Amino acid sequence: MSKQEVLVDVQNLSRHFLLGKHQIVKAVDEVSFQIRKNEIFGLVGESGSGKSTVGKCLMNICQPTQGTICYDGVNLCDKREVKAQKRKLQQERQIIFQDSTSALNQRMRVEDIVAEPLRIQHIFSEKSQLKQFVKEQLEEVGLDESYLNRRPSELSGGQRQRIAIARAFGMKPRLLIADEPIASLDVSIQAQIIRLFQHLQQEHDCAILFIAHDLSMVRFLSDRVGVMQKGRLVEVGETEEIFSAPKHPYTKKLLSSIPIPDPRAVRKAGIEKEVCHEDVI
Amino acid sequence: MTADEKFELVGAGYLDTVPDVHQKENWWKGKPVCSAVILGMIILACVGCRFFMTHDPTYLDLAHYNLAPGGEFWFGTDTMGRDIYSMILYGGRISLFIGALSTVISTGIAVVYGALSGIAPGWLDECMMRFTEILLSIPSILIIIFVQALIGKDSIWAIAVVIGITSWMSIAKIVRTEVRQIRESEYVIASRCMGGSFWHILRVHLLPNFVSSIMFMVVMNIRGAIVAESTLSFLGIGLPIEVISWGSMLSLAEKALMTNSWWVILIPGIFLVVTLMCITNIGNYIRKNVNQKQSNL
Amino acid sequence: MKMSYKKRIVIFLVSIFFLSVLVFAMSRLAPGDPLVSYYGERAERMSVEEKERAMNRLGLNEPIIVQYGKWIQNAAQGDFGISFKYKQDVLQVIEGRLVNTLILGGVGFLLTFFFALLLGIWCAFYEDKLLDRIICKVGTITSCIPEFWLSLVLILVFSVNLKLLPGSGAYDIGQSDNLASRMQHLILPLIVVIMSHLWYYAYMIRNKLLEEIRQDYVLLARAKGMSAGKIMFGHCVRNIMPAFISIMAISLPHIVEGTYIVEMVFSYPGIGTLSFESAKYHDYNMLMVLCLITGVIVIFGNITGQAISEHIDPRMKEPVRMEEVTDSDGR
Repeated sequence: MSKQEVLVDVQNLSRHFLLGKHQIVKAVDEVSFQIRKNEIFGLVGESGSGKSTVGKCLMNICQPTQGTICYDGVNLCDKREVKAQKRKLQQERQIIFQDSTSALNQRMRVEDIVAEPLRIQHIFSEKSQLKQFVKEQLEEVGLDESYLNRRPSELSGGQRQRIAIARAFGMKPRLLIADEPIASLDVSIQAQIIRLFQHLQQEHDCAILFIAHDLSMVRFLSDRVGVMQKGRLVEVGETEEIFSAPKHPYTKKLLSSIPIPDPRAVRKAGIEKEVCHEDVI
Repeated sequence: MTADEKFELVGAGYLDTVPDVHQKENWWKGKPVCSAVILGMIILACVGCRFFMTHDPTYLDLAHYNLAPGGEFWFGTDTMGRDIYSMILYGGRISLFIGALSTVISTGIAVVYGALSGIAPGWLDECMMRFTEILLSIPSILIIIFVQALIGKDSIWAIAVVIGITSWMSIAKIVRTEVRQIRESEYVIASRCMGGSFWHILRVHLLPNFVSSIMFMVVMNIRGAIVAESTLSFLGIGLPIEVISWGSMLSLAEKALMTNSWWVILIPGIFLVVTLMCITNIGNYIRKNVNQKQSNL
Repeated sequence: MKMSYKKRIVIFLVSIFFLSVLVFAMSRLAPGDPLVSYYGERAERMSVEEKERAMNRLGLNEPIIVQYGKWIQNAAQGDFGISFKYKQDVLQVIEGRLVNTLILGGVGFLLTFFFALLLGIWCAFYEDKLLDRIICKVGTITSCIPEFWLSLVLILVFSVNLKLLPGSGAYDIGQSDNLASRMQHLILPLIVVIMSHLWYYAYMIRNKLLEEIRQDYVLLARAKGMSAGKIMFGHCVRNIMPAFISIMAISLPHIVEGTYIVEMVFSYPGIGTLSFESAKYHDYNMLMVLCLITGVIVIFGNITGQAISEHIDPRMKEPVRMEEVTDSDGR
């Protein structure tokens, strides 16, 4: 089954920061997990738990202090190997940031923003082809041609995030790191963006590392989930398993913090669910 | 005095006269139009000097040397019998050209050096900035003289290059500060992840962001280059007398002082000063504008 | 504070070191036989044996780093080589000139800032009045005039036409000890040095003061009935003093540059004229030392200026750099 093939293998990843001369902050500490092909892997945890640092290590934005990251047979911690496979890595890994305001250059037009990676990698030789492709990409994320000549400052947060997504998916990535892509959006727009992620993931067959602190979104979107606390990965597993039967106390605490629209109704349903669960066992 | 006169009513109807917001604002208000027009005229006259010159500026007219202004020679002739009016136009072209070329060179070096230093890791950045500070601590005229002595050529290009490679430091410092601020932006990181090279990031992301903040310095650099060229040529270590520029024209001043021919000194100098002033005014306008925009943000 | 003095001395020494490396490297890039540039014409009259000895002494056939070490060693003993033009020890030539430059530059520097302060206060006091506007316009014009041309015009007017003041040299021939003669020769160069820099700094001071008089404490003092003059001199001027001194420190290279140019035009026997002459005659040895001396003076001035302004106002000290969250690999 293709779903079981491992795309990214993270082993004992650590990343320490020096704070002043003597203090060491262990942003990521001995983290191991795997991302399989075509799956959405959710990484949750409170702010400061090192989720983003893991994502950055996967993108080679920061170098791990210890451990190995193996992406499709390439050891990302080996600078020489990364250099040799530069083109492949740059095309296949893409990243989406939380803050769409700073992730897009305010002085560029939308067209240039979406076309930037394509230009860097010389994917299209002809300008008309490139423009056509950019248009298609924008349509795919639900923006029409009229946006081509606008600048990010004229757009709303949701639209900007769509453009960032269009830029990332334009490269047909195999691994997408989404670093809290919905955290700075309104709730109604969050849902749209999540739908968009789901849709694009199914169409493009790519694996997504979805970093978030919003648990309900992660539950909705991801196939598997990792829970991080203070730099350590405390629990990994299938989404439903973790959400229905958390093992680690921190996960339990985290889950209990999910706001519930109608507590009474859910409590009722929850009891039924638990009953069902016991039935299965 | 009645109560009405003593007290002013400040209630609901206080502002009974609405300030006239539709004041006619002239578009040129606050803009250095005068300077721009004068500078434009000087540049035009210098570039198209062929059409405005009354004499051959290089011709040594031994019959009419050291003539006071008036008559055939509008601004008089110098001690070698050349027509000063024609020389000013002809030489202005070279002075302005050196100003522009050396500014292009120094700005280019400054942008690349500043951006490299801004992107570089901390210790390297520290070293590079120390280096510029050391260069800045030697008076620029001394560095120019030093480099000029080393190169030992006195062609127009050589002078422009010498001035260019010795006057990039202050722009580089500004570029570096700006880059330091932008480089942690996520779009720069994203661009690096996509495989954008240094040049790509510099051109697409960094340059458009700091170009407005260095504009003032760039304009002032033109001024500085023109001054440097004329000073060097005047002192006799820049352009030789045969190559006419405003500086080399003034290098005849010593002879002119002996014969008390004031026009040889004053007239080219006034042109030089007027040009410099126009450039300064435009530069100040740019600086004010940039600052305004920043404060509005 | 003790720590920071130590640090400053270290910075000073490191800067000087780099400066010397830079200057040395540049002078070694000079075209021609380094022996010639070191010994001038003497090198041509040397026998092969002598040449060999000189080469060995100077270590010219050794790698450049070793050469640099030797040069530093010699320099520490006061041996910077021989001037090509003067056929003398470089230091001997410079010695006599340095005093002249220090007099002209130093007096010019102090007077420039004295007048700049006065003018700045004056303009700030009468902000936007007619006089202030006129001074601003005139100031902008004077700051655009190149030093050498201003010198020429002054010579033309005062020494050629009015015959009031001498237009060149530092003293009348044979009267090097005559103080009056020296003073007379100083007037025109001083005027140029002051005129060409005065407005730039006066304007800075004016703007600093304008910022200051918009502070709330000025309003409070006014409300209490203090006179405008008292507030200005008692508070505002005192408050901008640290900024004033750091402006002085930063401006040092510019004033030195102005002094050099003025020296050259007035053929005043100082370092500026000397450097100009040595450039003309390709006297690299001399140029090198001149650059070095100038650099040392300027860097020293800068560091002292910083120290003084920090001493007056501890707030001027750079906030102790919070080591930003630096990555462990130093990125």
